[in-house]
Amino acid sequence: MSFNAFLFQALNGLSAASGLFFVAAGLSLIFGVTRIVNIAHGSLYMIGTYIAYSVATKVGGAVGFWGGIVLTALLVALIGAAIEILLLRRIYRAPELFQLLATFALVLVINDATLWIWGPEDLLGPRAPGLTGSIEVLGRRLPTYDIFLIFVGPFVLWMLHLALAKTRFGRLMRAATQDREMVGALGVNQAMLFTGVFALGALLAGLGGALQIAREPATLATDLIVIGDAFVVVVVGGMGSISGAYLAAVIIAEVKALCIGLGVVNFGGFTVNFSKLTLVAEFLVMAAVLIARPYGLLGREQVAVRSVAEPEEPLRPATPATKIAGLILLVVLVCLPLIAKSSPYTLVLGIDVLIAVLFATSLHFIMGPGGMHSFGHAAYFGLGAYGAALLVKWFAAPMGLALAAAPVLALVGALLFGWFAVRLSGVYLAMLTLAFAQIVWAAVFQWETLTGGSNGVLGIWPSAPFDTRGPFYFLTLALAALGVLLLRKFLFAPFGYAMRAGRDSPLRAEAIGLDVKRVHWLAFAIAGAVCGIAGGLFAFAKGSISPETIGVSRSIDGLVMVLLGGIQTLTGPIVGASVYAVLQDFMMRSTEYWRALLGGIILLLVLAFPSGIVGGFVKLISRRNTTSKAAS
Amino acid sequence: MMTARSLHSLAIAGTLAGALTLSFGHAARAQDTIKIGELNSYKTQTAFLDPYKKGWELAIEQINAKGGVLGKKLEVISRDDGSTPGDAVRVADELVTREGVNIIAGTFLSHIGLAVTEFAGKKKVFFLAAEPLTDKITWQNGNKYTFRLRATTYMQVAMLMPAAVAAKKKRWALVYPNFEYGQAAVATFKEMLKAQQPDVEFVTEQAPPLGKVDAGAVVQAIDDAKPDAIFNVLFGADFSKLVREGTTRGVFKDRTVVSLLSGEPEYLDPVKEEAPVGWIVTGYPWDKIKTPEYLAFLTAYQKKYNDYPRLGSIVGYVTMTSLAAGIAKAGSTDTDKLIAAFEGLKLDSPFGPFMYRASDHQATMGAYVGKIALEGGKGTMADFKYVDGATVLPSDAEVKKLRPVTE
Amino acid sequence: MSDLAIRSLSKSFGGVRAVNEVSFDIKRGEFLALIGPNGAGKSTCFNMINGQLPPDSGEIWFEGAKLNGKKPRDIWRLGIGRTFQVAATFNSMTVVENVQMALISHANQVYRLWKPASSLHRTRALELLAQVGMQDAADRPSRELAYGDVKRVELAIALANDPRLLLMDEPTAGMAPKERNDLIALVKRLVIEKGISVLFTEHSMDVVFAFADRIIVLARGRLIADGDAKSIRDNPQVREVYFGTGKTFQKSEAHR
Repeated sequence: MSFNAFLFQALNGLSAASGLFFVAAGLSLIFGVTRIVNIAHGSLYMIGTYIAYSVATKVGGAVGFWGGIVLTALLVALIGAAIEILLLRRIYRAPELFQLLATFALVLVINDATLWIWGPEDLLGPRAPGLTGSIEVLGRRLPTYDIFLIFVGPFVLWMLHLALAKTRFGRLMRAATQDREMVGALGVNQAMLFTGVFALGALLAGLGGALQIAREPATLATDLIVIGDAFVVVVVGGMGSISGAYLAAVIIAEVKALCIGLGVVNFGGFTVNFSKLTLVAEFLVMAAVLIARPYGLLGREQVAVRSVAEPEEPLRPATPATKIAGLILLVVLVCLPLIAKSSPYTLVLGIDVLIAVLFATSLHFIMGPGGMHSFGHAAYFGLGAYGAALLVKWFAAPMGLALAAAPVLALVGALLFGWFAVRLSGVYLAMLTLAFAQIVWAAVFQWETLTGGSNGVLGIWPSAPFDTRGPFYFLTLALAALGVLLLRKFLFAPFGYAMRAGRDSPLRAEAIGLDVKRVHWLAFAIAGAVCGIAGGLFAFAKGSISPETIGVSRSIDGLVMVLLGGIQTLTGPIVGASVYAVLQDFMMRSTEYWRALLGGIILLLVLAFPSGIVGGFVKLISRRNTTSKAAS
Repeated sequence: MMTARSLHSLAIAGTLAGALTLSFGHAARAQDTIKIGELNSYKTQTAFLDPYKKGWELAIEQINAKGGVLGKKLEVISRDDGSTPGDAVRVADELVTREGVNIIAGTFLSHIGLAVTEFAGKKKVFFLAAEPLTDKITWQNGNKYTFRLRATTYMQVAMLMPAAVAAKKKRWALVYPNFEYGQAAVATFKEMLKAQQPDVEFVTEQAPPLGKVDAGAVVQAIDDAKPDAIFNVLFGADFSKLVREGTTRGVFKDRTVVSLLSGEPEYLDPVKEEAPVGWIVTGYPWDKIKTPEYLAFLTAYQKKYNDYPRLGSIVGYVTMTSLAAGIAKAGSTDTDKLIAAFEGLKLDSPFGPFMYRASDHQATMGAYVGKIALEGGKGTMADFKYVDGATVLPSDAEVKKLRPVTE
Repeated sequence: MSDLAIRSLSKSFGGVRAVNEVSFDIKRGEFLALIGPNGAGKSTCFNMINGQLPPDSGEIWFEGAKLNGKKPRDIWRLGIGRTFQVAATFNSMTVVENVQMALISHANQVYRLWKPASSLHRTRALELLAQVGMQDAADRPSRELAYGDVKRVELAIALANDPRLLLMDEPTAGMAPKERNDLIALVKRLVIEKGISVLFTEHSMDVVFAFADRIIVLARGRLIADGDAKSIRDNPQVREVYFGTGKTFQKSEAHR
């Protein structure tokens, strides 16, 4: 690569950085002030591309394009404000991260709504009137629109800075980013502030989307692609830091442009295709940054936000009645194959549900009692699945051995990643776990000779006597029940108490001799190992696996299950996983627009049970108990 | 009185048990229809699969209007496959166990197609893979129970090879999505071209992640490598981005571009008047094919939907007409008989007659190869010809070596 | 013999010397108050002793072991207990479980995975709670406690490892005067019974003069006085530090 080529790729990187910056800046602002992890931010961006496309093509000309961009930004801001007022405002008092569940539901609903309104085809917008050509730079042709983008990013950054520094709203936002409680104490109308921030964040997302229509088509896959990139940029830059977001956007875009520019490079007979690195470049950057600078490049250590939600109830050992109920459940599950005689699909679904339960319970183990919100739990599921599958593929290992290897590989991965992750907290920990999961995913995806690449590993079937549905169901039930009960046992043991002590107050835990990081690290490892069992079972249940077992959406599914059931209860993940898995299966069969329906039901559940399904039941019943006590 | 804890444990028991019973549903009815299970990634591959669904619905309508097959009507039970292999296998299992079908069809993405292939082989269910392109479905991972309709990656590349060789270009740049389809297409392309033109040089390879091409940087890197010709495997949104950036930056000027699938309306239509004229592509010029069997299809399709067919429509249509023909030939829906009937099954399609090869279960339905042209502000194909799949497939003896020996 | 020996302890933050060459000792069983106006360096001094902050220079010795560079949890294991300025408990646990947690840690049973924690050391935990008058609340969720009760529970937790030295950072902060005296009286009684030395910082001069065996005074990072209540009261430098800044003992009292 010549020096000029290098410089020119750097220019390409700058124009790409502006696009990344818009969506990341909005996400960062929203998180900084409201502490909401807005998964639907990519959806707002996507709506931006579609609205801008419609205006640009319907109105046409310069007015349609440039006016459309402004109009789009405003419309998306309105949508953002509506989301905040109608939905999020009702659940601010829910346990931490619960809002994530609501925004996840929005992703599903918005995607289907977009499909319904705009149809399935990709929509490529017009070129930007006035900026359709290119000019010669360094002997190469650079599109004028790219030059425009290179400048518009820093310009918006500068405007935001002015707005944050000079206006009352901006000052309040900065104050709230640093200390939310103080702003509340000053008597600021918090509701207005939050709505305003959400609208501003949405505006930036809409603007970012609208600006892209001259470069890429509006497609239904945009939402998830964009949200992934945006999170990385925000975290690398430091949550809540606008300049950090720009800096991170530039770094990531430049690293990618450099990888592309390098292309295929020979190192003495050894060929590396750097362009393939773009698959995971941003996550490598993020992992490196988080390990070196735990709060991102320009982020500050977060003031611990005292949770506005009620803390959880102390753990009580199971009452005899609970034990009986649990036993009944187990008996029902054991008898399921009998019931299933007339409907063998019950077992098929049952196996999937049990695997989901084990997956969610292991995630809850670190998320709930450990307070470590892993966004990359699929890594351990995938390591388990691949551990088992690869043993079968390469060594023709018997199923027993492969299933035993699953938790071992997952454990090794969890020990390695956990060691870094427990050094962080909050959303930074979440993002580092996500980065690790993506790195594992990319490694599996790319290492075709070992893992089969994107097609995965085929032909992993259980051996006799588990090669039919019934016995395999029993095996799954036994391992899932064992895993769930074991994790429960650990939570009641000193180790589980130490986990919670470390979560409730790390400082105090250290002051009574607990090595909090070590405790949490081992908890991470235990959860990873148990999750690996779920992964191993999954591989044998399906007969094949592919990199999606490690994908982001599986990690998000895990979060959804845990939050849906209720993070503050031990039975929450079990109920959440069952409900989610069955609901999804049922919805997929019943309507074409099943995602919207699933999202809608989750939204209803979110509003009805702001502490999860089980959490909601517990509250309902304890309230009834207190009133009946008061009455008597 | 019951404590909160025990109550909610009961609630769990209820949810689990109740939830599972949701799946009981209807018991198998008396078989007055022939049921076909169909599954696909309708939610994530909508641009292709929406027309695909219209295509097979048209086929079913036509078949049933003529009285169905073996005196019974065809009934398709269609499902979303969740766009993941894990969900797809469960959905396939659901179709088999709950709906009682013994014929399944569909899938789009290669890894999902392969997972269902594996499932079909294990559970001894007849599977017609409609769309997935990976060679492995009929070769390395092929099995007795699985057939595939669409022309494979290998076939598509082979169809383009004569034009690539005829271009007589020495320096080639390669750009492909970074997953098996792209990798396999490029590997085949390199191998075939090298065999026919030993002095060929591959000057750069760009493998952006699927759906996330950084088009500006990628076309620039291609340009900097100074190739004489470009082989492109990008499709969908990646294709649109590549075309727009490359055109603006003048990267395609005076260069031969050979491009896989780009002549399919699904991918060509979104770029509208910016269609890259002169690219040599495989595809489907829907408005220019004049054979009577095609025109019959076209008229029926446009009448029913008031829209023009895409390639997906053809695939969907032929999937169901294949199954109807196979069942008719077998005289039964018995799996083994159906397999026997499909091996060597000859039938007509809008693209003309083709067959399912007995050796590797691959259909020989071909594709159109031609150059992208611009007409009335829309992209289309010119100088095209239909390439019969049979002419580009390896011989029976060769594929026998590729397939697993267990059969 | 001295339990804790501080030698030339210093710490700077961005050029400001928060603690400057401070040296003092605590003798076994002594009830030592560390006082000084806001910003005098009390908390910095405290946090260096309990291991939260590394000193820039100087040494901290406890029973012949050097504490420099040790982590808070290791210092605790040497027999030094502590309470926090803002009291809190492990909110997801009951009162008695909070104490049990400390006892479990003291017995090195943290990594046990089997036996329920609630069955371990319960008797001992209840005893400790009884000593601070909280036995009746043992099975209540600790998050429901009033602030004064939280302080008591925290004291019980701090006593769980049978410490020989107790570090208390403003033990009475945020409490009403009556509660305040009760709490310190309780502490004093317990430490005399158990022979524990105590180092505490305190704003309330009432409390200090009434209970401390000895008082040391910090001002702008330096130790300016060391003696009993009377000598401190009469010390001109101390008077200047407090009165001179316009902050009388009485006024600082009134603020509380």
